[in-house]
Amino acid sequence: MAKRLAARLAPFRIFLLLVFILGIPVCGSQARTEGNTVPPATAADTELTLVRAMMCEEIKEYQPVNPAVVFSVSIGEVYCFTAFSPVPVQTVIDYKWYRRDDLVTTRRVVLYSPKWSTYSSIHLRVADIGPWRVEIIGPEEQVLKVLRFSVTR
Amino acid sequence: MIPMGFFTNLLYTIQWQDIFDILLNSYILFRIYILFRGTPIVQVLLVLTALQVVQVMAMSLGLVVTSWVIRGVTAVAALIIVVVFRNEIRSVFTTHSLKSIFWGLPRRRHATPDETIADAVFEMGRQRLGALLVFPDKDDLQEIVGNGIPWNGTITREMLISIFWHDNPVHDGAAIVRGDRISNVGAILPLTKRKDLPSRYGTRHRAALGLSEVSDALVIVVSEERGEVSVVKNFTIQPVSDPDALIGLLQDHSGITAKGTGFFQREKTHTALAALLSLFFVFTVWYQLTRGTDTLVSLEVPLEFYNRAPDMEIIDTSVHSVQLYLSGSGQLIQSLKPEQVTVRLNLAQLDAGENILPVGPENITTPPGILLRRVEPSSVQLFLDKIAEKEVPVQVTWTGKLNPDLIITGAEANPSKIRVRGGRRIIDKTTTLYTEPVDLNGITSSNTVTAPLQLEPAGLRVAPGSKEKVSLTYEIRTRTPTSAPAEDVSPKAEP
Repeated sequence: MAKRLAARLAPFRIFLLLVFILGIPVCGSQARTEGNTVPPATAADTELTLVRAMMCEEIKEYQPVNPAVVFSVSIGEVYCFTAFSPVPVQTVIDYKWYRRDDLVTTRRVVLYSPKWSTYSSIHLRVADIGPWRVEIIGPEEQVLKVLRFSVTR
Repeated sequence: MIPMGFFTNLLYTIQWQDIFDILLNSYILFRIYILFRGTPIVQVLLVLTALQVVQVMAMSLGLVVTSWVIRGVTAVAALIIVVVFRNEIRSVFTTHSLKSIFWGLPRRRHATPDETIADAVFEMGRQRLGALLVFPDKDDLQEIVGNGIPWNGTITREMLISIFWHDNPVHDGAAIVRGDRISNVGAILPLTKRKDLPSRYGTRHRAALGLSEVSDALVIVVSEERGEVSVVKNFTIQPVSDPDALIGLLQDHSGITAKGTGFFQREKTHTALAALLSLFFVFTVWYQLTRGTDTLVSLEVPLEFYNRAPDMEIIDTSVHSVQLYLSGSGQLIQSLKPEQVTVRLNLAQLDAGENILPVGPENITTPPGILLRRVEPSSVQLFLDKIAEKEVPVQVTWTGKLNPDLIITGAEANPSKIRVRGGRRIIDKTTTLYTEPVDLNGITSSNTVTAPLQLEPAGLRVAPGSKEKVSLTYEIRTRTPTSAPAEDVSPKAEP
């Protein structure tokens, strides 16, 4: 019986492993930052909820490294980290990157149920120096969060 | 012969300010003449006017030195007049009321009370009182008899007799009669040099004759020894036997006809002529100033807008100023100040969106005498929009370079949102209000600073009641050598 079940799940082994690996840090991060970054989710469990969002210099072990609001162009890349819980159904969100008020790029990522952490990033050039903002747009075009930061020399 | 075009051109170009200007200055000139006539000031002013004419002629003939000298003299003439004629000026302003300075004609020169004088003179003759009465005509006797004692008393029979009474200190001098008043007493007259006079004529007769030789005045002499009355005029001594004859001679001297209207008629004519001459003189000066040699000048004048609807906003204009090409006389152009020329555009009845307004004489104001030749551009594009307000988040603009060992983990503006106002299109496009750049150089620790706001684009402004600066609080953290995942920090953000 056990052998038969193992055989049936064999094609999904990689997927399940990925969900397991990603699920642990998201849950852990949420627990640690609750009440610090985003107000506690009050929506029902069936509603997509953004629990954590920040700009950072790097993503390491699925966690943001050196969150900040000012980034030197010399670091080469800047990240927008987000964590959602719950993710009732698989869905997509957009990251809209604006330099001043000009839309520079839009990045679309997929969120998987039941929880998901993900990020978007851009490479920095000298011409990018100035104030920026990232709008995190939900599946129904609603603005979930706006993060503001600056790129400097 | 003045061409017809002169009047046509004048009629079409003259403005109400010009007419007012001419009339006002003509009246001032006329009043100056009325107040100072009979004094040397008027003569000096006439000389100065003549000098001005000569100066213009000298300049046109190329007589540089002459022109320069005359200009120098006339330049200091005002000061000279005030200093030299200060007594006359003071006399005019102290003897006239404010009303009489600005309005009304001076009292008519009172006719000499000939009958009173004749009566007093023959009474003095009967009482053997020597007397010497001078009646000036057109010649100015100021220099000749200026050594008398000013008195300015009204003529009465008793006063005349008392002046020449034996014990009076001034009885030996002459009394100067002007109109119905005795202006001076005790005046010493120049004696005649004639040797052929009969011996019965004493010093009084010689003095009367001496004055008649140097002026057109009439002098009445009463002999102290014989009580005879004589009238001296034009080198001749004429004995007068009765008061009526004396009255006749006095009236002849003062120009009064038998009916007595000629004198007053002459006064009226004189005044009217003075008024006309004042008007003509000022008109000539005005014409030379404003219609003289044509000088062209170009001036950049900023646009002014008025009558804008309260709920409308000017978003943009194709130009902010226009180039005006103006002409006028050299003097007017030289004295032209930019603030005297305005271009005002009426925004009443304009709708939101693009509007094109013509720029022409109807909305350009120039000083009198300055003519508008051309405007560039001749129209202005104007974009109007309805005024709207919106609350927008504030974002900090950083500049400079932060110490690489430090990280700014958070920055919060207070207030975090500012209400802005502007045209609907601008407001719709405005999503963020940025601060002026805050310098990162030198930042070492968390702090709070004040940052002004950048109000861009033009036309965007802070709504009444909102702040134009924000207080910025930032948090600094030292960067750890080995990067580690974030624990409990995050940037401030709003959904």
